[in-house]
Amino acid sequence: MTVENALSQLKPLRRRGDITAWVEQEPDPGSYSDLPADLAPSLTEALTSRGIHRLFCHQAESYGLARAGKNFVVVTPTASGKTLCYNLPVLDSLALDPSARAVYLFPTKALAQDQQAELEQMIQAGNLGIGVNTYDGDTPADMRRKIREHGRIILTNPDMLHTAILPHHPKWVQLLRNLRYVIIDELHTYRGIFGSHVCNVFRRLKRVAAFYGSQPQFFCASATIANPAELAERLLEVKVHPVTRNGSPRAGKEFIFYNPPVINQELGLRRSAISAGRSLMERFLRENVQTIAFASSRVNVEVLLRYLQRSFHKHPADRVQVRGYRGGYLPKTRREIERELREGELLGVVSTNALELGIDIGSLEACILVGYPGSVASTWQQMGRAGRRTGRSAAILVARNLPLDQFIITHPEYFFGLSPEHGLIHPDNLQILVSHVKCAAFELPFQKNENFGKENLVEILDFLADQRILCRSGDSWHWSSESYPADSVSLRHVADENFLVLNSDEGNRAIAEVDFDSAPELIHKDAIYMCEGRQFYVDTLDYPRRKAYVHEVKIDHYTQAITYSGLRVLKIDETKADRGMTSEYGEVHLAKKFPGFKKIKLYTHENLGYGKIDLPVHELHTTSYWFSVTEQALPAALTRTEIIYAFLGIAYALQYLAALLLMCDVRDIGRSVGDRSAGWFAKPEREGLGFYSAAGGTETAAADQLATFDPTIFLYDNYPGGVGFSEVLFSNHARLLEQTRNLIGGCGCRNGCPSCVGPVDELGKTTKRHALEILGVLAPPERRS
Amino acid sequence: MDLKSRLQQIYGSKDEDAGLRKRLEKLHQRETFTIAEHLEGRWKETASGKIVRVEKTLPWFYSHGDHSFDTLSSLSGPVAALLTGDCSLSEFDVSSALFLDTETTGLAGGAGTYPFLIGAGYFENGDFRLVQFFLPDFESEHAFLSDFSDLIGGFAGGKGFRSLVTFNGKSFDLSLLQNRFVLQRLDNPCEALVHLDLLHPCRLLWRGHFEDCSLQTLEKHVLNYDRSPDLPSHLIPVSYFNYLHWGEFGPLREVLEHNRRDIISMAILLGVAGQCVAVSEIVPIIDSLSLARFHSRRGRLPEAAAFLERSLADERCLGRRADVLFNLARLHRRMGDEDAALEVCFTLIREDPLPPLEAFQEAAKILEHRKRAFQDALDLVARALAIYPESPELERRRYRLICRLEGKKWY
Ligand SMILES: [Zn+2]
Repeated sequence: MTVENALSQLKPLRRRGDITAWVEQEPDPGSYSDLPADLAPSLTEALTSRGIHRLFCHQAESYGLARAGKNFVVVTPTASGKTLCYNLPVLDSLALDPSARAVYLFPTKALAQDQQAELEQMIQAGNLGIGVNTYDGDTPADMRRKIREHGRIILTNPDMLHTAILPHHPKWVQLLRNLRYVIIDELHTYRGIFGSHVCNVFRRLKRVAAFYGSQPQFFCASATIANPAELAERLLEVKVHPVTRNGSPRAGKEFIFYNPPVINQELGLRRSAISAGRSLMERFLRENVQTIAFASSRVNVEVLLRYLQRSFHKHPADRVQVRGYRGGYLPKTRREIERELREGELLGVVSTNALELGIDIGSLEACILVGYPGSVASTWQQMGRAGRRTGRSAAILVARNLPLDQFIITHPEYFFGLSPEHGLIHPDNLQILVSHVKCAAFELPFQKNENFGKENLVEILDFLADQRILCRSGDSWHWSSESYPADSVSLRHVADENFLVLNSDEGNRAIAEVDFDSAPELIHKDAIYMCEGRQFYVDTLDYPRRKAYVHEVKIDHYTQAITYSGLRVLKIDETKADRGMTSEYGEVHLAKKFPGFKKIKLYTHENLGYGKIDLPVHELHTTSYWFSVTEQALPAALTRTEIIYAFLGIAYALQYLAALLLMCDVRDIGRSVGDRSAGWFAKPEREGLGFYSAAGGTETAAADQLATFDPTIFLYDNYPGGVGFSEVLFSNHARLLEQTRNLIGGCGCRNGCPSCVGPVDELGKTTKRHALEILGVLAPPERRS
Repeated sequence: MDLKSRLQQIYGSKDEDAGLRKRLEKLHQRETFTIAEHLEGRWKETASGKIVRVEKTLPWFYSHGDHSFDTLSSLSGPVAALLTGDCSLSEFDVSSALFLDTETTGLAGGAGTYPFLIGAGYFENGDFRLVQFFLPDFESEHAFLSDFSDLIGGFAGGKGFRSLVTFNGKSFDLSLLQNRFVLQRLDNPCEALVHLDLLHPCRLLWRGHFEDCSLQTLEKHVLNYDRSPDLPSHLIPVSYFNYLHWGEFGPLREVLEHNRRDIISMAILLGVAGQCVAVSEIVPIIDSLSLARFHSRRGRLPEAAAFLERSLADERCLGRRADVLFNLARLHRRMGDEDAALEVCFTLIREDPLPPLEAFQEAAKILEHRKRAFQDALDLVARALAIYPESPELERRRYRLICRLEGKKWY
């Protein structure tokens, strides 16, 4: 009854009104079906020997669809026996037909390895004699040939399919001729840029399979999103049936939304989610409840971990062990933590979303989300880490001082109602499409009547022939270059280019990895890098070699990088003008700079000073949505400076609402405030407002650049070429402005706060009022009808 | 904006080349000869397309560096099997062998790398015939591969070839050809042939002799053949692409010449390599230590030992005397002649001011395990320790020997 004990301590918070939702999920006995009568007898044996005498209804439904030759996507919660939905029809069919083969795709290597163990147990139990092999970058060279020729089930990831399997398809004749099934787990992760690439990889797979006379069925599994079948159909471009009725039994579970109390009425600041999350986690751990906390970033994992370790350090008698878990840890450490969790040796873990996907760590009793993970789907996935077949469990969401968190925590119906989130992909992004047309032409020459993507294929092929990458010969186009095109196309956003963090105290031992995008912010020279609860001072960042050299320190602060960006409009796709306001979307060139960093005191978050960062400008060609307003259309009483501050405040809120609409991470969109025709950009600073020209780097913009005045807000796609966000934002322009007005207007703060227009100490006390005045003109309430 | 402009915006345009291309096309139209004539071949029409075949015949006495095809006359099946260590070649017969080399559109491998030239050489009525199949455009690949298949199947009145000789063909040429046959839905005729790849035997024989073990290096040093002027290999794909894109076929003649030289060198190198392993005398093009290494690898210990003995007199091996002696000692032990092994070890230890650690260990091993002369072994280990005081192996052996001498257990 330990979970109950911990929960009863939350009652006072409920009385104070800090708990905005407390939803009890009733226990559910589950809904079952008999094992299918026509199941291969050996498989029936395997199931019964593992204690499975009947199926959950979603498993039976999936099996029926598979036997009827249909594609399906199963959408049920974590730990609901989802993998059996696809394993059952695959093993059944492979047991009956010794030539049939299947490919399983997982977004990460770790998931594939987990799944191999599970499949092998089933195959062994039924003595099915089906070879299961993982084929990834770690597969030894001498095994590869054997796997290509004899592997019946190949577990791999989209990246391997893209760079190693498809370009060498004649070596995979055995697999491709007999390819019956393609399994795609964690379907919801295939969205945005990654999903757009993977859609094209599937186009190539289907094309190559068709060459060998195969037309595989697709079985998918996804976390809860509003449009699983739609996403699957957009990704695979075939009809896909949704399976959504969950038949697995579950014990009771409490879902709690917790908004930390306001501690500074003046600044509108609430108690930080990290410190609120820390006290909640402490309560659970002291009650001996196995608990996982999810933090929103690697830095926050380290901060929270440090706090927790410190509180338990004071009472050695507690003997409570808490560890951190995140992408940058070395694989060996991670495997060890996973095992300790499964076996119950470890009581507490603080993780990034790295543990959100199906890595087997068993089921925990409590789960604390320190900050809204950014999407409803991720929230359910993370909350699903708590919950056992028997015994109560609890999942708590703690809101941060951020617009999205505040929106969700004050609108629980948005979360508990039907999920409104839509996975979005844009496979016909021209850059993405063309790079896969190249890969496809490498694999098989294109014929005139073929289809590939939604642009005019012949025109693309002729263009590539003009570039002498392809060679047109009659009505077919052949690859005619020495290069290997898949090598220059990364499905992920510079994902492979990780930076290594080397500790010079320990003879430059690698202590962590940092991804390419985060490196300028986390491991610039003089940064304090936090890892496993320890602080490291970055002595040098060797950017070309992707290495950072650090040594351990014990100091009272951490660092936070300052970033800003300038934009240049290259091309306008569409324009809408209305009462002095022009909204547009199109292509832009972005230059991102990292001028310096702040030193922030631990616990108090007080700013201790600034330092410089000396790093190259990061450039990006992408798509953006923006709108500008003429000076005449704006309230005449406001000064230019006041207007710019108000625009900065509006942009702040708008970015979060855009992320909510697009089901993407806030960081997938960038925001910038400036003047679209004059080419300057504004950035709030401690000393006042800074103006920068887009082209000129960090120096202040010239006075004549400030002569014209068309303040503009840009929301851009944070990926090269864009993935279609801008068009969606453009067509939702009016709705977004209205939501922004409601969010800022409805915020309980007095003069603005991080949950609406941004922190008062950066934007001043009048910004909230001015932002509302401007929004009153741009999105007047009466226009709603 | 239309699609073409968008593409140009992202990737730039090559319009500046378009005018040049037009001019070149006009130029080619005025030229009266075709690619077939340029390559000194002929067009061959088949049901599935038109390809170019180039044929040449060289007499057996054709000289290539210091050698001619005559070197192949003594190559028997058993020698081929010995050379490769592959007993499936024991029936090998030069007269039914096809020497194969391809030129490709790149080294990347995968389904988008095309062999555009297949060069094949074989003996017919004592002459060496070279047949080159050239792919004039990608559409004709089916015809190109079929014609090559016909050569294999139709040779010598349907009797056919029985073996295939390549240099590094196992992992490259044959692998790429296999891809093409799969893609054209044709049976691969090479699968029916026994395969002799010269790369590994040549590496075993000539490792450490020259800067590398490529065919071009070997023909220069082993065959004493100077192929200059020659089109460097890395320019071959570009030459083919320039032909495809621009109709520019000038350098292709050199590509074909390059390919013919590769095949001739490969054939003669097979003969020379066969002679090296078949005879028991020292030959000038390979040092005796390498021959010993070869025979030892093939399990021919007495032959290996004989070559080692000779290496002691071979001036090319003077600098490696310690190596020779040590290998000789090992061989003697493997052949069961411990006394000879010990003698060689002691010679080595006596002669060399700084004898290798392995020599001490080899001798100590024999003394301890075979002769059970523990005291002698211990004395030897003590001498070795004076030179190699850091060696844990020596320490362990010393401890064990002391125990054995005192009749104690050491484990
Ligand atoms: Zn507020």
